[in-house]
Amino acid sequence: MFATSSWDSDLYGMKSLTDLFGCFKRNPRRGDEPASANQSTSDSPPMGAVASGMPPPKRRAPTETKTPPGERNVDDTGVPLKEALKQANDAKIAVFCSGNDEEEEKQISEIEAILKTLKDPPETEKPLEIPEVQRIQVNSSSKKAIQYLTLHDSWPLIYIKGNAVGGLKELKALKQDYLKEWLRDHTYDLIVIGGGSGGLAAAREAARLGKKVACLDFVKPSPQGTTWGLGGTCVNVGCIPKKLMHQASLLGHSIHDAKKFGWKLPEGKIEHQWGHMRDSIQDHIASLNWGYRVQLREKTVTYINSYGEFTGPFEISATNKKKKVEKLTADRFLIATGLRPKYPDYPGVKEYTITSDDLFQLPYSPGKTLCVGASYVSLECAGFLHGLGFDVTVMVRSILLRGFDQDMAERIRKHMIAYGLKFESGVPTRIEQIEEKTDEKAGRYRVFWPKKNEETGEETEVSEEYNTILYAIGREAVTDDVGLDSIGVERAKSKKVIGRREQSTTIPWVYAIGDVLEGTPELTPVAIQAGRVLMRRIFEGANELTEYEQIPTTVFTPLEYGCCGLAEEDAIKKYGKENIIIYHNVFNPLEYTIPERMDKDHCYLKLICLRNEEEKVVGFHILTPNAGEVTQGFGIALKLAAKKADFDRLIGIHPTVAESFTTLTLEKKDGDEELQASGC
Amino acid sequence: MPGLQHYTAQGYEAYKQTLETIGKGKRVVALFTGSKNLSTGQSWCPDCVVAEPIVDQVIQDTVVAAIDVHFITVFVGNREVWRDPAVGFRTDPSLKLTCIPTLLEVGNKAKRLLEGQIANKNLVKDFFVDED
Repeated sequence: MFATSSWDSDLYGMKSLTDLFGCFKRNPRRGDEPASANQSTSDSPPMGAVASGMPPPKRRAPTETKTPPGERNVDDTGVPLKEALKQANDAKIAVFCSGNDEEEEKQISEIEAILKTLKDPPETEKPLEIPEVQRIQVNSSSKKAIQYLTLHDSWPLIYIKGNAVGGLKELKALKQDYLKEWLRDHTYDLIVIGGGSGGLAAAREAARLGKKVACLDFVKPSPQGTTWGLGGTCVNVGCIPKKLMHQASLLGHSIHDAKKFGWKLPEGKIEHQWGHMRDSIQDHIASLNWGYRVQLREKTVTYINSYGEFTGPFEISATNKKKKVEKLTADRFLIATGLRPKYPDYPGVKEYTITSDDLFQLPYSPGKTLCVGASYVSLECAGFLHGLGFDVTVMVRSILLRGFDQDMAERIRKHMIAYGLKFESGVPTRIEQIEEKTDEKAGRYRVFWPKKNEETGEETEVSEEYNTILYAIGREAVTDDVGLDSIGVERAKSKKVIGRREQSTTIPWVYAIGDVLEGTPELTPVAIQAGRVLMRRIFEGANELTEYEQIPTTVFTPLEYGCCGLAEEDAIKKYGKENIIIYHNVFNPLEYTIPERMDKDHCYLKLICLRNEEEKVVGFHILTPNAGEVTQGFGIALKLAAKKADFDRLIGIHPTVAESFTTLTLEKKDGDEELQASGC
Repeated sequence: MPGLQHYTAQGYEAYKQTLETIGKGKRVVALFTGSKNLSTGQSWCPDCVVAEPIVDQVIQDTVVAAIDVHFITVFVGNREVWRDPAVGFRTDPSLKLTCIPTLLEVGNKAKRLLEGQIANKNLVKDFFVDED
């Protein structure tokens, strides 16, 4: 449903489409024909430019000259889309309508009648001013575009203070006192709750657009007492320290490889110092925290280091470290509170175990570690800890990397086992402390879990001793203490905000982005993009949407896994097995040959294509060193709807791993034997 | 509470000396700025001319003045001294200055304000007040 963001029917308003399909503009000949992608490339070389793979535009091609309003046919009447959206954003109350319709007139009169009921009695001091309803008449194609942009079917469509509300029905569903309060003035244009990737990006963008913005950020300490500064999960306890520790781990291997390349290393054991790495990483994080503070100041966003909670439909109570409460009001709110790790429920678990919230600041070297969970967080932590020299076991209940391509997940598991990591299947049921941890030294704990005997099927309790137990069994939206229920913001079972796009389905002045928006990927760049795009949409009337599909991402396991588009099983589910053709291969990175790294047998890539759609590529997967760098670049090919033939036309860069995508000929079939890599 | 204590130092050696006088385990903030021309009383560095009165204002703010911090105004010398790539301010691993004015917290690599940022009074106040 989010496939195309640039869907638009306005002839002049939409920048991106006219840029993409600029050829139409210069080519009046095709003016009134329903344009198709094939036509657009008719004067391209036979093999076609990239444009041959682009989705056909979903609108008529614009003509060369703008028709003066008087000479337009009926469909071209009304305010142009771009201008219409801008007007709706600037008006206190606006209604999009088509004009010349009795039913529509009736509804607009009813809207006006509802607003009149809000009028204060004459004796009221500072009575509420009831604004005039501004009618914005648009043509049918603009109507479609607006409905697509807002995901509201109701028509005429009401906007209040720049927020799409819906039709008469949705307006009636709003509490009268909420509506009244909405029309009053508030201190801020926007209050952002949560200073993570998404919240900060949104706050800065809104401020750039000249809005008065406050951003609240407050980190409740983890059960282990860990806390951190401004910037959210990614910067403090996620992407940044994770990737740096992954790098530390890779460097360890490079030291060994270096010998094979002729470097003479000092005799004796080469050891890693946990504390040194942790401090260097924490220093870097501190500089990022401070950098965010500076940026907010420079962009004139008010930063408040307090925990925000709704105490009214337009009021936030912000509680700081000293329990001092400050009340703030705004016209709009953005929920960007993110996620925190989940804990299981058995005695001792919060005292004796840690999560990714604690790992990166761990005062002591973790020692023998158990990572519980099959999430990417668990596998990444297990991977770099093992690479740093620790004895690491991963305990999983069932499958690895749920939601990811399972063929790739299995390859990751095989690689991690070959790499020396241990896997146990089971779920811990209790933990006993043998020796308490201190600031200098990890503790000792015995972990118990039921183990099934493969032959008899009998379950017996087994146990093992570990110094550190890291739980990474999933993450949970931090929305319970924000007061969302009290004002009626609808939440999903996951506790995430249910959105119509990024707007709350029930309270139209509340928005959510990033990890707390139901049904969207939990990734930093997604949150950043969503935050920026949303701000432009609600403050500028931009006709722009975040595209939640074909998002490239990478799991930083010891051998990195990059993917974009669909997993194999999802592609089969969506298009049917008979319509899927998969090209794959194994490869041996050149830099692995001399050091004879075992990883070389695990590098693998595949392209999932649609047989009946000229082998359009819908899934991209690679297991390789530097998968992130490779996947980011190829992601654009999927965004442009590249076909297998486009990959074939591309010339490789030699010697790289990514060049393997330009020479794929092997088809993946059920029951095939494992592929063997050959040299160049 | 002793509050904010202000020192000045002329040149790198004097800066090191001042740090020693203050001693270890204290919160130290330093402003590195261009030395003043004796006849005009103004620094040769235009950004420093803008920054100095702002910092002066902030350290006199009642909230900031009450903070337990040692604040050193360090005059880095004239243009020639400062431009020398071998000058202590540029080579000292704990400083590695690249521009003036620079406001930094000694021993906290993360926390600095540079050039035009020091003209932002709110930012300078945040620098002193903010403890995270």
